[in-house]
Amino acid sequence: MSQGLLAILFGAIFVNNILLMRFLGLCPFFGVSTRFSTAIGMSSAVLFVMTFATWITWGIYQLVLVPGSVLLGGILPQGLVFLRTVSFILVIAALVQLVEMFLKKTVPVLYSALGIYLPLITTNCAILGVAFLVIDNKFGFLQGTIFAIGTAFGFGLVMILFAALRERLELAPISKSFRGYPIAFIAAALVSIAFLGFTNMFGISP
Amino acid sequence: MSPKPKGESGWKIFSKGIILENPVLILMLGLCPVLATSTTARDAAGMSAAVLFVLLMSNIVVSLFRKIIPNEVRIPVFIVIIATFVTIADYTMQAYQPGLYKVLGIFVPLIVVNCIVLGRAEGFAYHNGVWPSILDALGKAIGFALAIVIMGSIREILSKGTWFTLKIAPEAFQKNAVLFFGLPPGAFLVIGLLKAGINKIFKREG
Amino acid sequence: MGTIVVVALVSLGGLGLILAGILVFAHRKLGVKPNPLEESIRAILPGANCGGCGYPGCDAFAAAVAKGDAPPDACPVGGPSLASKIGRIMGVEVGGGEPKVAFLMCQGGDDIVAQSADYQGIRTCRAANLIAGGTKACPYGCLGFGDCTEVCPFDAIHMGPNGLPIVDRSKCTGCGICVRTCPKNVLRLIPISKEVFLACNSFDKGKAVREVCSKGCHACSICVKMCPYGALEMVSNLPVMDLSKCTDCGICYAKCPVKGSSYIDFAAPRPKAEIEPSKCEGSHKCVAVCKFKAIEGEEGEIHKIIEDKCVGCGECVKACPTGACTQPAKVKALVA
Repeated sequence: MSQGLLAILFGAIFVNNILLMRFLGLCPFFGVSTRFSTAIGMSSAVLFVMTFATWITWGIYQLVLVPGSVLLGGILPQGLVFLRTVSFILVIAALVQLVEMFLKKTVPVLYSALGIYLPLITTNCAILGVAFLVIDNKFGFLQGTIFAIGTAFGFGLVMILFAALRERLELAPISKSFRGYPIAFIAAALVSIAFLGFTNMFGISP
Repeated sequence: MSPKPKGESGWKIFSKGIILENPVLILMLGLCPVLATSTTARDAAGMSAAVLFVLLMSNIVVSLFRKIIPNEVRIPVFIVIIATFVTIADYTMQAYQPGLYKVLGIFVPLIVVNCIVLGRAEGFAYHNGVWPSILDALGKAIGFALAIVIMGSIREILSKGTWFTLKIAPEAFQKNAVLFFGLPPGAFLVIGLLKAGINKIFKREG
Repeated sequence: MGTIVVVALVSLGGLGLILAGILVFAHRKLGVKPNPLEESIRAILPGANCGGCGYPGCDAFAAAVAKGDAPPDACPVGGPSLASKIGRIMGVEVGGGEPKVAFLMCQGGDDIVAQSADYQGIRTCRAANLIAGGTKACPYGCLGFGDCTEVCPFDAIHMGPNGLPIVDRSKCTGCGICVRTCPKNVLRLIPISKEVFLACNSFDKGKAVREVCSKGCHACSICVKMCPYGALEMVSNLPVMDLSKCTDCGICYAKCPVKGSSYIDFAAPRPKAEIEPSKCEGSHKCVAVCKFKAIEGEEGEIHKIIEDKCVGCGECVKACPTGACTQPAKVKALVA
């Protein structure tokens, strides 16, 4: 399936928004989106990790796991597709560790801003989910890159929107049972309705 | 999450996971698959079966090898163990329940980053014996199943008028079922109200 | 069948080794040694993560102190004892700081200050303040929706019956979160031993204040003139207290023409002074300092305290050369 790059980008940000339509990346979404500044920090960290993770996992898939791959095609014609899950998650975990160390040493200012979110990203289903989706949709390298960047932007867009919403929600008196998660979910439902409006726009299917 | 306090009975470990420390509704873990795969009660049941399998097996294995696994590399080791069982579940479902697999999509392999599974391995199985770990896994998995099937049922009844594909709503309702609840915003709304209800019953906040 | 198992194990093992190798290498090259100072400081911090030090949590505070960015005595929960411990770790001298508690600079409750409008909005102080500074007749006073009570991590401040928050001075740790939260800035941190302090925040004077609040300070400056230590100075229609000069005599509180005083005196009602007739030599020094004309007696005669007029400021006790004039111990309120 060879989708146009713009269609992929628009689809990733709006039509198939990762948080509100695909339901990936929700845990840090509800935990971290309470302040505007933390939302921006988290989104930047996600953008960074998502892009790199997609590159590396795509590379490993194409070069090692796929049947007839460059590295193993000769030895094992049927490929090692079943190692997809294990290898991807190991790569992502290692990548996040690496990024954390790198940031801490080279750009400490950035580390103090983003660093605390990085462990949250390791087990974030959004990163692994995007890696899987790139494979399932049979994207090429450029398509996969655009998809990852678009998805991260979609994540950031909703995160920041939501942070602004929650900062205002904090001022409002909410009955005891609804405080915290319940009202956040209901707010998410309303924002999700707005995003429903993008369904099938420009023929991009959900 | 601390190791099991000495002398906690097996029944207590098991039953805690079902209601008092329900991983989805009280601990708010593993929300992504709950929201994404609860469109119908059958999909919810299928998902919880997969989670039960992975949680149980990984708890057993981690607990069996807990004396050998060094502390520094424990997280990657847990991840490999969990990923193995996820891959098994993934391929088994592909083979024997292809219809279900098509609906659940990437959420089956994404069980590997489910906070519940990793959380129990790290927080319980690594510090306790095999039998308590089995009980803990069963308890938490049943708690997860309870939450997701309730959600699935609510959403299926309201959006389609059926329950486990059996028509249970009166004819008039079926013609005018509220499609909204099958869509993403509906998922957020239902879990928000469910959580608010839980807060009210257990007199909690957040 | 065999090949696939072997290849799978080898490639996965290989991947794992490569990743581990990269990480170890990175750790060697990029590893930042954790500051041992930071760890020992973090270990003695109370761990309440209240943010009173101005840093996001105890971890951040420990890091800042270890780096030298934060002063060792910034933790209000640990107080001076913690500050000196931190000082010892860091090898610096720590000046003694007195524990502080929150204090409400307003007495304009619902029974005293009227509402200027029928407020229908969000019932929090911050939200109400956004609308023309709130809907109480006095634009500077406490709004009474209790934002401070919500944010206190130590359960030390609760809403009183008349719409003013009451600080439980036994629980308050002086972390300052309520002070920062209040949109009107009517909460202030004062040393816990302070007995007398102004309880009004109004920058208006005279009639403008009297019209809206019967307890408000209308900037008459009587307290400023009466203070024997020159500790008060009128700034923007409010008397500002120099804590290094104030001795808590309570004269400002007693002389304030406002009914019930614009000041709050935690030691009120003060015990009255007593003169032991056998010791009095009639030096008349007490009469010279008494601002309330509460001592009768001529020079050379035995003096006597007029109990109705004495407010217990203790100035005569300080002035008495023979020790004939004494005052029983004061009792301080814990809640205000």
